Amino acid sequence: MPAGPLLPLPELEARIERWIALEAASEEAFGLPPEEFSDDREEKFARWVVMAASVHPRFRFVRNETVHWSPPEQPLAASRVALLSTGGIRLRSQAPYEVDCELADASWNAIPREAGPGDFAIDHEHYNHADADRDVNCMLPVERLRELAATGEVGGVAPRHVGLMGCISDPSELLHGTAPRLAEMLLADGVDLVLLTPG
Amino acid sequence: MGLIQNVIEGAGITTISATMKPEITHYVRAPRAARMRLPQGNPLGEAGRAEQQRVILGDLLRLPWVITEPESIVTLPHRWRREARPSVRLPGETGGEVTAAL
Repeated sequence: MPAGPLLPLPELEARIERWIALEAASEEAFGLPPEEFSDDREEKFARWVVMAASVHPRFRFVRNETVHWSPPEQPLAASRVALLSTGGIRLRSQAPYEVDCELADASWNAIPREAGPGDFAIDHEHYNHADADRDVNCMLPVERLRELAATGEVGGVAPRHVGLMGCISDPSELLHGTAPRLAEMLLADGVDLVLLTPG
Repeated sequence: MGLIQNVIEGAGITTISATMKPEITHYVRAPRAARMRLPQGNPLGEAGRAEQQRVILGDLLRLPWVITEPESIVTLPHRWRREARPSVRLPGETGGEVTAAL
């Protein structure tokens, strides 16, 4: 189950450099079909870094230097659950997110647990959210979570869920400003478990 | 997303993230993640399919009781527009299947 050892950063950076050189040398850089490339995760990751850096001038890859670990202390049936999505989701009544990744919109919206399918809007231009526009539960399963709480599989639904923007070139404000404030809110709400979903 | 997740986990709250880009999740070093074999935009499945969404949500929420190693990424068995797959089982429950990491 462990994801395997991480490459030391200098080695990873060397591999990324190698891929940048290969991409630069290839006339079809990003036009090659996926089957031309291996399933190697280092390669996939390096290609993503190259792609992101080429599209987003302010792109900065940041990883967790220390990984925190808070295993559950009570059964799921006794746990209060909150949802968080970085798919650019908000209530229609809340201000739209900035969709330009360079502007690094680190704002967030608290979404009351009573919110229903017709209450949402999605601001994001990097993935197809047509399904989630029709049925928010494919991305932020607010109704499904209420149902699991009603049957007792889940202990309870937190009073507030969280919506954020996903495409952020420089995550500094997100990491050092937004995330700690979010965590404070979730703690104040007595949340035991958070499910995070992308767009 | 793994950055936010780690801050929340550091505050003492258990977290589980769904990812369609496990190679990024791996290098970000998310505390605990599930690789979804579903398209971007549909981490919980298809629109209008409440039972499918409920099963996927239930599986995701059970994973913190199954994953015991930090930085694990497990692959959930659900596939796009495919038949039902075995669900995640808690320790002590019979049946079920969780495939290996990344």
